[in-house]
Amino acid sequence: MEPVIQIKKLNASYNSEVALQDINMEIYKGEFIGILGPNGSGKTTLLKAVLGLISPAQGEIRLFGGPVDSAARKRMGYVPQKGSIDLTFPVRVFDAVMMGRYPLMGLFRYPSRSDRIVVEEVLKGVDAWHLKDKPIGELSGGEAQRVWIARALVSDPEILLLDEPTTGLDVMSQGQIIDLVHRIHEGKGLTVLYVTHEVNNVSCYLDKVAYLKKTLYAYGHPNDVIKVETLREVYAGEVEVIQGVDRPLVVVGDHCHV
Amino acid sequence: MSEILQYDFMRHALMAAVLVGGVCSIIGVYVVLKGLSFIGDGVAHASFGGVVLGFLLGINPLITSVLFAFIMVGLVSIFTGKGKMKTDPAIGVFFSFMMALAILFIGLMRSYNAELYSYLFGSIISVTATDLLIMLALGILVLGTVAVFFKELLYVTFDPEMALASGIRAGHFNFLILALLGLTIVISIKSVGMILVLALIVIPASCAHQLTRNIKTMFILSPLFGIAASIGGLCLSYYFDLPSGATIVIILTFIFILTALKRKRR
Repeated sequence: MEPVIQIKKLNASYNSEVALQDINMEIYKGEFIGILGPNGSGKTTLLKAVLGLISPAQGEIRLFGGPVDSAARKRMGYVPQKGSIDLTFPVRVFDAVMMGRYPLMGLFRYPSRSDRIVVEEVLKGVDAWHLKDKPIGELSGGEAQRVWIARALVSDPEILLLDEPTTGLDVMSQGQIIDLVHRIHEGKGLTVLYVTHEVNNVSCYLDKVAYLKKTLYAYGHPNDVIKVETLREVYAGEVEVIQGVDRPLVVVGDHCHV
Repeated sequence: MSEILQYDFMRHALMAAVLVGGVCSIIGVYVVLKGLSFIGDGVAHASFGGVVLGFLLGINPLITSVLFAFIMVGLVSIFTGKGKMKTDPAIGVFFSFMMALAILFIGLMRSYNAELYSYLFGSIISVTATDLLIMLALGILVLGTVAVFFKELLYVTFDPEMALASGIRAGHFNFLILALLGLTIVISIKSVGMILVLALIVIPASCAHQLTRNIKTMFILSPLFGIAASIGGLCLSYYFDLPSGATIVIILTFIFILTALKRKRR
């Protein structure tokens, strides 16, 4: 089977600093991949390289067996990091989510009835239909994330990329977002790339985990990858791995314990 | 009002006011939301340089001002592309360069040209039928382009990175917004002048932004303010013998203060 995302010997810079070195990954259709690592480890750069927002300094990325071009981008949905969206922009939730369908409509066309039906269905699916008339600046953190996930889904993508969708949310909202992403992954058979800091509340759903710190330290099934030796390299020592009931749990930077 | 309409020059001026007020305030929505005021000012100065060159060479100043507006947009795009340089200093550099060229060209003319004055401060009552036709053609071009690419322009204004990530050629459309801004300034510069044109672009959209959190409403309110203030300013300037461009901008500023107060109370 051909991978939907193939990353070969990728080197990439971000803001003229080397962010990624010699990354090799193959991601197959329907996989739920967690991308982990400390701050500044190149997680976001990796997502942006896959989306073609930054071009590789060396190496190659292939999507669906072809190049990273505008046709391939239309088959991907992206939920960017919090803070990259201008929340003062005067747009309502419904219209903001509709933008996710713009690339499919083609030039000279305005949203049709069927576009509006898709937006309605997706908003209902993420439990955000009641927010449709709200200006985006008036959403809570969890509501906003559900709306941006909806925007990524209305183009009916085959790959969903999420950049720290739970950062800055309270524990309840974090759980809701993770359940939602899990439900989308199961329901639609989407390939999901999920960048996060917090592995424990999502690792039970992940098919594979990638530990990044400029280079790829480990890539595989959570039970094989989440090992104290690997993580101590990635997080420079301050890590413990505790064996939970069904899976390993990671404690990063536990100063009381260390 | 009927008294105003019996003069040819006032009929032309009114049509110019509606046209300029409408086109400026539509493009102004993008300028306000994308934060393009400074580049707008730079383009205004550049197109004035073009106007002076037109007079110097004896060709239609509209042609040379379009050219200079595009050179300004092109220079800034080249120097800021791919994060090579911040936009602000790039505009600062070429803004001054273009103004220096304008002053140089004025120096080379050796004789005083009174018509230049109207491009600097605006003279809506000296707009001729030919001017109007050119303005109308360019105005239709600008508004037509906005209508055709409305959703792409909206997406790159709101979230250029997402637009690019979802397959829209964001770079092309960012340049298109600047090109439309350049054309808008060229259309307006004779009516309101290089110094005041930015006000007609930025203030109506800012008033609309105070009153609504819905982009569609903003595209309706902004031209309403722009056209109303242009007609009102023109009439006042006729009855009280005031400079028209300045009167329009002062009315717009009052509207802005009122909308800001309304928002504060809300």
